[in-house]
Amino acid sequence: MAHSDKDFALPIQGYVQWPVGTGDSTTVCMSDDMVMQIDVHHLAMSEEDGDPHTPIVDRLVQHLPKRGKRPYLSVFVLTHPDKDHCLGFEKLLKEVEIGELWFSPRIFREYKKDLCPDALAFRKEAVRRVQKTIQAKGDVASGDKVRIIGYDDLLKEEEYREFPRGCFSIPGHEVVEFDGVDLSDRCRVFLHGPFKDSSEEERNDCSIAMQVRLDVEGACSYLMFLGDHCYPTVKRIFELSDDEDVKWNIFLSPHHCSKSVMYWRDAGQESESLKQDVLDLIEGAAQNPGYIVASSEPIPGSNQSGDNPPHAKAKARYQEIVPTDFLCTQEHPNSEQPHPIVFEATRNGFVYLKPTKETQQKTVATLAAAASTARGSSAPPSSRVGFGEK
Amino acid sequence: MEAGPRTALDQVRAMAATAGTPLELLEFEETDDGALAFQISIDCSGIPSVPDGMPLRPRERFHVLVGRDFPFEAPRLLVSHSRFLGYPHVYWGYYLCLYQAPETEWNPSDGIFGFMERVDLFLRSAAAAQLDPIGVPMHPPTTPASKRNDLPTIIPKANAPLTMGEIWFGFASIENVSKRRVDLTGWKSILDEDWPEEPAAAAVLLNKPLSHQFPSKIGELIGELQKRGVSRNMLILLLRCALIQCEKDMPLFLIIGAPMRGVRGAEEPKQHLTSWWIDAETANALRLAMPKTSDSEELRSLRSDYEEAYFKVLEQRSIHWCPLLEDRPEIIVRRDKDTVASWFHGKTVAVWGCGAIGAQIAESVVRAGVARLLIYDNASVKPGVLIRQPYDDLDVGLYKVNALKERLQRIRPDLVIEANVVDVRRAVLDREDWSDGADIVFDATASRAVLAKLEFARKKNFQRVPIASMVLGPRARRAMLLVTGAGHSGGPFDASRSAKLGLLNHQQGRTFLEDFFPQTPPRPFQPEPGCSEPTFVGSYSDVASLSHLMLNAVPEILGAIHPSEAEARFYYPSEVDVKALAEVRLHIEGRLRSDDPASGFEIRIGRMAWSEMEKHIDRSSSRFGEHVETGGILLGERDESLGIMWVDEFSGPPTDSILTSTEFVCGVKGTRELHEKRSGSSLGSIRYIGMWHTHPESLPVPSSTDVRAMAALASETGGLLAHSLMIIIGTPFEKLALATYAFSQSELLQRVFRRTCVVTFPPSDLTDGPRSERADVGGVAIRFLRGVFKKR
Repeated sequence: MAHSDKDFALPIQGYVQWPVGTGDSTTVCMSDDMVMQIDVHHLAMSEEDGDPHTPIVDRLVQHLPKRGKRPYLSVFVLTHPDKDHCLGFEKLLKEVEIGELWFSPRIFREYKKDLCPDALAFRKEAVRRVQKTIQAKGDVASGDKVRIIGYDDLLKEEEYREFPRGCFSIPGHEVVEFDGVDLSDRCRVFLHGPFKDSSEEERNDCSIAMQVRLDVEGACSYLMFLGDHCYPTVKRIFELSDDEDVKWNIFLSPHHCSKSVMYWRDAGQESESLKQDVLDLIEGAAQNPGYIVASSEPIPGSNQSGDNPPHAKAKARYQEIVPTDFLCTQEHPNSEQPHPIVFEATRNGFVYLKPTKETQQKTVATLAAAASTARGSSAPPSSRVGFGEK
Repeated sequence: MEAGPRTALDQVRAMAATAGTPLELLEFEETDDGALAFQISIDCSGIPSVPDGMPLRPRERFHVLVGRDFPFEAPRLLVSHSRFLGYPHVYWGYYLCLYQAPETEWNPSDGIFGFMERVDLFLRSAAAAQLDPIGVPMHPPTTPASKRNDLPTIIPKANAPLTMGEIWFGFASIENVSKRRVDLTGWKSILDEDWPEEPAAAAVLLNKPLSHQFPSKIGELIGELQKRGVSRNMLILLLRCALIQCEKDMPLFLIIGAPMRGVRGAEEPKQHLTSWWIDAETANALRLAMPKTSDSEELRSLRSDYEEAYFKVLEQRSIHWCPLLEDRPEIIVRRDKDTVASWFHGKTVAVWGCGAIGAQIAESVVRAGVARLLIYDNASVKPGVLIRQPYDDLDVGLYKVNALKERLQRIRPDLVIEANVVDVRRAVLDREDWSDGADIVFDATASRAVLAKLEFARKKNFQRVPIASMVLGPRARRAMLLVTGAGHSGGPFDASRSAKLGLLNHQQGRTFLEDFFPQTPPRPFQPEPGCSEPTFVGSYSDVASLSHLMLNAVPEILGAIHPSEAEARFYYPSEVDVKALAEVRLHIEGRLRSDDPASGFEIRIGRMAWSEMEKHIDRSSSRFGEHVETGGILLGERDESLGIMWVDEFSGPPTDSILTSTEFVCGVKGTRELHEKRSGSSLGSIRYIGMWHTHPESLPVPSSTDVRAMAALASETGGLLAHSLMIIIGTPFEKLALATYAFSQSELLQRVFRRTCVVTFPPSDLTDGPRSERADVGGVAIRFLRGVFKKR
């Protein structure tokens, strides 16, 4: 299992991105007793000694604030029910008090056989809470609360007609109440997706997308979570939103540093091409300090065609636009013993908590060395070569 | 795509394909003119950085423009953002200047590989804030180029006034040198009692730097000035002052300075000057807005409204920055700093002779920054001379000095040049101060007569000045340079004699002797009307290169020799004969000087000769005793017209001499042979010139015996007017005392001698120990009168 720092504690207000391989596990600390977890990816192998991945559920159990005897998680957000976003949910539900569940209606659309066990567990719990909410006309206690995010005609159906509006949000809404608690002076979530017209689309395109703003005595820190969206949606979000709603100090690279954010094959084109416009939009919304985080396995130097994310090309493009630095969860600070990426929101702004361990100095070849190699050496060969008439 | 850019593309691709390369090729396209533009992404995560350094992201994108003439022109590196604005070597925020001097630094053979290595070096240096390290001149800021190409170039000549850390308002006097050039010749503060009479530009010198890229719109400039303490009203006031100083329908200049130049980390930054050019129309409009004392309330108010409105329009317009070329001494670093020629900077130099050598020297010292120049020549420019002398066709018929002065004045209008159409022999050497107070005198007359008269004049009116004499051999293949220290015992004429003797002893001396000390005159040279002197044949290159070679040696020699010494250098630079020595250097020691006022002769005794003489005395005293007189013959040279004798050798007593305590009878055995031998080997420069003897324990004053001896010689040595030398060495005290007497034949025949004896005490090895320092002949001269004595 990944090394656990004895002195580690969640920041009072801040953000943690855990090294869970190619998957998402984001913890947003809104106040000293209110924590939001966005997605979970608890790998079985992470429980073995020496494995560099974090057994996230165990960590959360260890570090979440306590309510009574049990650890208490104010909000759990499932951006979309892909395995790399909900693996370990069943275990989490058992071991932790989850105040409020946030999800998109898409979960109800899916066929049972397409969902993994944890997603099924999530759906079951979601259904239970929705029904209870309908019955109690919205007046439910922590532990039974839900917030449904996104457009869907599903909710016009008979079964859900009574669902209280207050527990329902659509893109363009902001949310400042979490598990029934008003945190408007500390935390604000602006919802960017999923869009109305994507309910029939690919699961990724129905991810919940949002911007989280943490306020500390007037100093704001911004986090952008765009789930597994790709180019068209990302572009649309940045184009249509107000400036304030797309600012970011942290940009979690969508779909684990996938190139589909900035490389896209337009209709009628044979292959994908680089889309500079979306990069300009993302860069334009960057704040200082600005970090782009890839929640993924170590990013290779190059990819073969058809490779799953993370993609080297995407990393390169992000590195060009990021004001401060690009971080990868499984390489932070090195790939043998990764540490969670932690930021604290302070009244002087967003502060990166540097791990004490040495950063892995990737031996990047220098330009001069590349020139030298390409030029070729002028030394004679070191192995014998034979020539002959025949 | 042209072959060159295609090669560049292949090279970039090759680099992008190497294992672990930090380079990614993003896209490329061919431009309309056959050039290639490509975009690359470079991994900069491994480049160490410092807070002051240029901020590099983990990856950076660059645009590279490869001209169609690649690889014979260097590619250019650009960025499409402004994050690097303000950092050294970044122009207009987006152009990264990689090469200081592309002509020497860009290697076409290495193509893109070399280019990328340079990019790597640049990025690393920039990130480490090493591009303009401390102790290196600051990168001057850039002004956006004006779109107009008819603006005059401003040349600031006068150093900016001291601002004492305050903002300085005032005027810069301008001189309209030509339509395209305006010089700033002086500065006057607005607080001065008198404002400039002549045309002037308004000027404001800030006490805080402006941003590294100067504003391009008038509104921006007004804003920037406001931020640095120059309010809009102050600016308007300054412009009004300028308007007062300038005429209607004339453009206006506003000089803006900011402390942004100098050496980083050193003293106060110097002012960086820029000039804002306001066209006549705008100037007139601004003038219209100026209130007059005769204005009514209404008119005043109208003018004010007009000014408000006009400025609103003005602020949107672009600023016309004039091109500016610095010539302020406080900014410009002379490009001959630390060269040998920089010795001439600030000096006064006299050049005699403005022919092939002299004209080169004059121009050279002018360019090196001489403060005052005197040139002498009485010849005019003849057509044939244009082959090897730096004169124009239009100069033909003019006096050389006048033509030369005019040309040199164009190079340095500020320089004081005195041109004299005179014969140096009379106009200069007849004066008491023949040196004109110069720091160095160059004799480039190639005239033996001038050298001789100089020797005479220097003997008569000693001037403490070093002299350099330059002469070329008959075919301009070899050159002779003689440099005499300011206190040398002789001038170049003397040095030339020493040089000749030096060459005789030198293995490689023969070729130079042939050129410069010929025994027989060379093949008759046909003096064409085209040659200025029938002295030599040579091309411009021959003559110029030898002249400058010699000129460059002069400061070096002056730095190396003691003022009492001299040096001769012979040059033979080119040629087929590889074994020949290219340069011969002869060091010339100063000689001991002794005067015989009665005859007017000056006797110059070589130090070697003196040492030898001391050895003779020593030997004699150990063999025969201290009280015994000794002596011998003197060998050297005599110049009757100059009144100088050189003693090169004191011979020992000939074997048939008689040495007693009361007299020394000089024998004759071997003396004739010695004389002939020396004369032969010295090509006539060393021969018998007289005799010497000692007076142990008494002053070196001639006794009656001595006088009788000299008289006896009278009939032997020929020539009525020729002088014979008698040197007496006395040892009245510890030190050796020297006195010299040159008796003329007529004096000897008359048998009447009247002498004031001048006794000196030269430095001596015997009593003083080894010579540890060289000094001019010191000692005390004792004069006393010895009466008239007659022959018995």
